[in-house]
Amino acid sequence: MIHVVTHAQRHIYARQLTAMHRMRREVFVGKRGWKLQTREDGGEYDRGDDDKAIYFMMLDRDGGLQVSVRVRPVTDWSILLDEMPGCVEGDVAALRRPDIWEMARHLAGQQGRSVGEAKRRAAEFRIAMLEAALRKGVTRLIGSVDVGLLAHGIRAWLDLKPLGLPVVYPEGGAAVGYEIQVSEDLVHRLRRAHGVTRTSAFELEVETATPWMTPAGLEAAFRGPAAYSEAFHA
Amino acid sequence: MGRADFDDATRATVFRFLQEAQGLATLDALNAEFRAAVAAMGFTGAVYIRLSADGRALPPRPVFGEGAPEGWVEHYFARNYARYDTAIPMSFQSREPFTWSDAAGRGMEKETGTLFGEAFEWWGADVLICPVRGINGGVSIVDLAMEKGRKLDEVERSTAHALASLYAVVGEGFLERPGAPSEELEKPLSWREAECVYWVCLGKSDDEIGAILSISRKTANHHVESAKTKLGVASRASLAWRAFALGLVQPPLF
Repeated sequence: MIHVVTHAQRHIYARQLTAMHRMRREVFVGKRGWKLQTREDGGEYDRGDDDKAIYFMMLDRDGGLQVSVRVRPVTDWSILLDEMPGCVEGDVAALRRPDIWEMARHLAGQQGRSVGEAKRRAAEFRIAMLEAALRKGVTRLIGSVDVGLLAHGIRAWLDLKPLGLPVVYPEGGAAVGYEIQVSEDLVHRLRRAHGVTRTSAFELEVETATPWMTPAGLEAAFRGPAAYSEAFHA
Repeated sequence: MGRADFDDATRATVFRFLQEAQGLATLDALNAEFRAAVAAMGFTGAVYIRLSADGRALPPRPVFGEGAPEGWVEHYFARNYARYDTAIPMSFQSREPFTWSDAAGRGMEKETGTLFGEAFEWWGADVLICPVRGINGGVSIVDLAMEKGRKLDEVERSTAHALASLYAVVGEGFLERPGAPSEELEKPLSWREAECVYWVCLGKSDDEIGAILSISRKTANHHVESAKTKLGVASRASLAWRAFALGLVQPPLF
């Protein structure tokens, strides 16, 4: 199950969000050497981590964070359009539309016990994002990807297209801006390619949430009666 | 952030390929458009080579593209150069493009020096090697020939790498596509023809093949010519190239 965490659900996913920001610092600041803002809680934050941000999270059975990405409307600010406009050939302003989301700060940890399982779960994650985007009226996802991961990105998303020539990071390496057309057709092709049949994006309705609805409780409930029993009656 | 400092025409050609590669209808069209895009950047040839798939190492087999001098592939395999080719392990280790010159500098063995010395001489060029990951669970490379001694800045390398990534992923897509031209031959090679092709790949003449297989030079030539017809090629060099590409010959490399 992929959890959709909007501003309304932040308090329920507080532990996972803290872990995500810390992982972002570890990966982007620690390992990649990017000059990004950090806070006293040990996490990395930027302008995009505001009320408009939506986080997609894949969790383990205990509610621990495995994979996450942030999406956000680009109307007021985006990394690609405002910090890396050189990645876009042509009119940058034309991309500043309410039906476009930017994907950023993708963290991928352990997704499966085998290569096959990891691939399938990564595909579920992408499908969940596309389904949520469609539900919210989004027609395009944009972002930037390391040049070395471009082929992987195209293979993974099928409809990923470069928006311009690569731009070199001051810290080393280079990125390519991209766009993905969000469509039912793309969701169907990804489902078919990876054998994913059920919807995997889950957005908790906060008003009707009951106390057992913690991220771990939701995971247990979603994984079936045995997992639920193990989690709550052990 | 460093933006590419290309002239407008180069920039437009490169961007067109990045935008349109995924919509091209055939592998031939892809090859033509890619050649145009990299030519705009000053590269003179381009070859796509698989190094591994699904976690298994493969002989460094050219799959599509062109640019290698006639006879080079046969020579490379005949000398078992893959064993000393430092560019192969570097392709697995590096996420960034690098050149033959970079790889030659890594060699500790005498044969590595010989390999690159001959490569520079045959090609009359240096080659930018662009590693591509994420296809078929393995690593592939796109070799881009360029003027010897040319120094590429980081933007040029990154742009070539992006073009090569598109070329690789779209080209592989054509080979995997249902209904794509089959890699199986309409008329398969006979056992004798396959044997002769193997020795052609190792750079042997008809006389030498005849001696090895205990057949006459004329018979050896007949088998080679027949194999050329079946593979749809005109020269012995192309025969070897195509045979490697189709996986018909697997010389002992490692």
